[in-house]
Amino acid sequence: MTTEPVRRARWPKRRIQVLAWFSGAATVLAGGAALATDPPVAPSRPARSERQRAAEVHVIRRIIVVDPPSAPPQPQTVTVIAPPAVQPAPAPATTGGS
Amino acid sequence: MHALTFRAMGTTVSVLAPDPASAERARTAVRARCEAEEARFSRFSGSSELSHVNRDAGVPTRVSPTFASVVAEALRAARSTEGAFDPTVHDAVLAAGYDRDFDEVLAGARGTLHPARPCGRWTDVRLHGDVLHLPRGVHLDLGGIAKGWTADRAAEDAIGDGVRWVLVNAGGDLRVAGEAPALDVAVEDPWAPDRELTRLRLRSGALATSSTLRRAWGQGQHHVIDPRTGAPSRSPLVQATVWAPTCAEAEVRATACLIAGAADGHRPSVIVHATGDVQVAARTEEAA
Repeated sequence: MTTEPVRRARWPKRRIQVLAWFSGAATVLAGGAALATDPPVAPSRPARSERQRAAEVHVIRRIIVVDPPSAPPQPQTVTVIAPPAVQPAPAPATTGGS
Repeated sequence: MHALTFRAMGTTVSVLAPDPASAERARTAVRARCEAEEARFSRFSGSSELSHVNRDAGVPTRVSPTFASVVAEALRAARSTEGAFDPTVHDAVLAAGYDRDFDEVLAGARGTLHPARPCGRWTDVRLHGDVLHLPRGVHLDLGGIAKGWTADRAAEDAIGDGVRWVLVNAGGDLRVAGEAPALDVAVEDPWAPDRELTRLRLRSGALATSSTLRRAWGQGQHHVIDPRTGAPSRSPLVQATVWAPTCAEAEVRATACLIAGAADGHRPSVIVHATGDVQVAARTEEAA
């Protein structure tokens, strides 16, 4: 004996169309709502004043004496002279790059 | 102490000796050495040995013992600085616009500038005794190391001629030889060469300074080539002064220090940052 399979009732076409319209509209509204509630991006730097200010660059001439190399090959071959209180006489030689 | 000067190797050479007679004798010896080596190593003279060698790139060439000795030293320097000092920057220097005597470059008589290409072909240079083989398309520029080497030999020549002590200063590359007293050396301010940044007291050995503000012909255009890019160095340093036992080594170390952008960790040095800061790594003593 065979049994006739139970056939599920099909939705009417009109109902499917209405459902599709509703879900589409809901998606659009959800996206809009998310954008509306998102906080605005903070500006990365303060807004410019109307007149651009010229940058003033100060070159600071600092002299830093650091530890000498740990093991110079010949100690005392060259040394830095602490500046004297009075202007020294011109050095007999200068080095300034080539 | 007595000083005498003359022009050679595209710069001013000065000789300092104990008295006028010694200075005169030293100048004769030093000048002869400088002129001989300039004729050998100049890249601006078509008849120099360097120009002949560069023209023969691609085939093995027999070179003079002196030339072989300087090339060997240059290759050792390239190895010890891991290529920061590179004797094969010749074409990059030309491409940057330094293609003739510097006075002419300053006068604006430059050839066409070419795009920079990385260097580093020193690893392909072969030297067996006095036979040098440059790969095709590779050319040598021994300018800095040859100048330091010449200052070393010139100082020894003066001592060999009976001068008790001598200081040879070849455009800022200094070598002291003999029984010299402690000599004060002013390190120039790169922005104002007539001003002193600091003063060093030299007892033996050599000092050399390399600077991106000297031999410069425009914004960012200067003779210190970074072998990694083949373009003028963009180092955060503008000047490096380094002490070493010989002037050739001091010259190499100063150039490598400038390109590496940091003080030489093994040698006393004075470096000047582009910000104006000056860093001194040497022992300090009270001024007399």
